[in-house]
Amino acid sequence: MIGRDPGLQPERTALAWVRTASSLLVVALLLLRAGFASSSGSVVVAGTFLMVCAAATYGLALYRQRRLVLDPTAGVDAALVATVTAFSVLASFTMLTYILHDETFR
Amino acid sequence: MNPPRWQDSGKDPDYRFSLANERTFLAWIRTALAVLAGAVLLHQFATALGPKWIVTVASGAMAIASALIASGAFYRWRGNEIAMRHSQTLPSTWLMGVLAMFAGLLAAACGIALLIR
Repeated sequence: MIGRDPGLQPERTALAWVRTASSLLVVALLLLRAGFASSSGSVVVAGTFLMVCAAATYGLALYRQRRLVLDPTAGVDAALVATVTAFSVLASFTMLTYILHDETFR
Repeated sequence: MNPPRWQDSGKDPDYRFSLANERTFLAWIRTALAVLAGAVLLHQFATALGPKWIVTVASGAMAIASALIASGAFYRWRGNEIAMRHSQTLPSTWLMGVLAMFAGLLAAACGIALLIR
């Protein structure tokens, strides 16, 4: 294990994190816009919170990248994986809330 | 934060496989988010696409599918890690089949919506 060239895998992993954070940012922006368009307070709040989550994911990407620079063999914390999953599921629930709101008040 | 018990069990896998597993998880999450973005765009901009209820049902189904893909992604990552730690074959997953089926159904629904209007 010692001295085995990690190659470009750590770099690809860090980039994968950044791309995931960017995807979450796009979804947060779309939901935020939808909230404003339909004057739904709860969706605006949720969308804003998702923007914060997207920013946090960029932070997680940076943290992960730093860890990999120090030790390319460092496995990912399950907590990081769970957090990103939770952000994505939260975004889904926000969309369902928005649809419900749209159905009720249209 | 202490790792969960299963992440300490067995033998540490080759880190390159762990990194590949991590990237696969992130790719699934991006897939889930892409489906969700599709749901938002469909709901927002499909004003002339057939009866409203089809658009509502389709975007609702996409949002639910997105949540299922995201949670499936976590369990797939975890299952792969455990399998690698115990030198077992990687578990099979329902994720890909569900995604393919779902995409097909969605395309069919939009096709029907276009025909009905």
